[in-house]
Amino acid sequence: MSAPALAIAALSKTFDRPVIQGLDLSVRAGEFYALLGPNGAGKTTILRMVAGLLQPDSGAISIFGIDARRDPVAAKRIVAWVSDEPMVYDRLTPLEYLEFVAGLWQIDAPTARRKAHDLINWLGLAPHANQLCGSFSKGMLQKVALAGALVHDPRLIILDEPLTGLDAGSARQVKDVLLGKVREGGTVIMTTHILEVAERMAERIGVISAGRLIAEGTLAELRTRIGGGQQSLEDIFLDLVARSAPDIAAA
Amino acid sequence: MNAAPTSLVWFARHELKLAWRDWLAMMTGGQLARRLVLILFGLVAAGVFHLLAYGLVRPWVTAGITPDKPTLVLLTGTGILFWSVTLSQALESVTRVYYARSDLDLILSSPASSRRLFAVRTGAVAITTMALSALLVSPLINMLALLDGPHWLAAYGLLAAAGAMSTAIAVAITIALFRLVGAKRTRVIAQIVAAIIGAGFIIGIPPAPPWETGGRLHSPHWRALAPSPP
Repeated sequence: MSAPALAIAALSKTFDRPVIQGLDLSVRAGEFYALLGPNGAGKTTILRMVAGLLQPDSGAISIFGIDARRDPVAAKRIVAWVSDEPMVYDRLTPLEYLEFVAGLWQIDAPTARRKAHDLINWLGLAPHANQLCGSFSKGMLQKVALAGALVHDPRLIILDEPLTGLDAGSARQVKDVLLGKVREGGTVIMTTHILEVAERMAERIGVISAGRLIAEGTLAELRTRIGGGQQSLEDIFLDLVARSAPDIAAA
Repeated sequence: MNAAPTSLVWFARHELKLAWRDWLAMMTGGQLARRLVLILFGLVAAGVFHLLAYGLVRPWVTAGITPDKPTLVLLTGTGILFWSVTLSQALESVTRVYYARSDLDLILSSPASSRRLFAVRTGAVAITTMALSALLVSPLINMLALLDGPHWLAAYGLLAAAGAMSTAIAVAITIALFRLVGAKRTRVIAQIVAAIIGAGFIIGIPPAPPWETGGRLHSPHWRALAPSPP
């Protein structure tokens, strides 16, 4: 059996209060996984620890069998991280940006250039390939950032709220790209507040509240968990969070 | 020539490209006419500053510069005053270059060495700090070299050393603040410290050139504190 794309065990992180508390989470290779939770639940903190941007206080993170805490460089080689406010240099063109990002993953210049061209064409950015990114709309910037995440062919793509603020056309294109990567065998973990997106795209959904995984499974499994029926993910989510509140308060 | 990705040269080229484009956009808005005006303005400003420096330095040179105790106290005091400006500038720059590009998430989530990136950025701060101090002091040094001899050009070496020292201290202060108060508050506190140090320079400037008026640096108190020249 192949190693899971992501295996988190007993992960904890405290800032001025405990943010993540003994979290266990596993994402299978080739899976589209949505991580949901109310504001401040700890979703971004979890993803930042997986991406190597934050040090956990305790616990283990394994990415395709690589211990990310012991060998972060090896783990980072196969991971891409797109934050909720992706940074794209204003003074670079998309081609220059993608070549720079490819360089960060030590892809040689000719290969980087070829991949950058391919991605720019694929995402419909070819007419803007030589314009500075500073003049781009939010949707175009998100596409450039997504192209940056894909330029080194990561096995695990982590996205924090990738669809926030995008118009319908751009959102559709981003979703198609992500589903395409999963079809090719990639693994995607995404947080989103747009529950319809999680409902339609994700194979499994994890619900986080106050730094704990309170429920996990397919949409059908989550429905069963709250008593069956044909509730929307929004109803399920609100129900699960409300049910967990007394436990969390007691803890 | 292509540098190997994530090497020091590769990061330096990336930083230089961004800095150059930022500067050019800020100064010229991408217009050729403004670029020409900027070059012309720079040349005129350099000429005016050198004329001012000539007016300041000439009486001193005419009277004869001797390396006696008051002169050494004066030069040391002036040097420390200018150094406080470079320290203030370096503190501001260190926090700005570490934070302002907002690209640390991208770079730190990659397998690239963050040490190399910070080394390049720290080097860039040192160079800009040296450039700022050179901008302030070079007319005086050039005029002294012209009127009294080329040995004054050695002051550029002193400027480089002062810039490097300011940057090292600024980095140390920033790291200490990072550990003490966290990343979010570091920038604000560093800017306040930079402002206080900068204000110290303004307070410390004598109202007129000290070699003409005697100034604070010629006070008997300072002379008594200073060691005698060899």
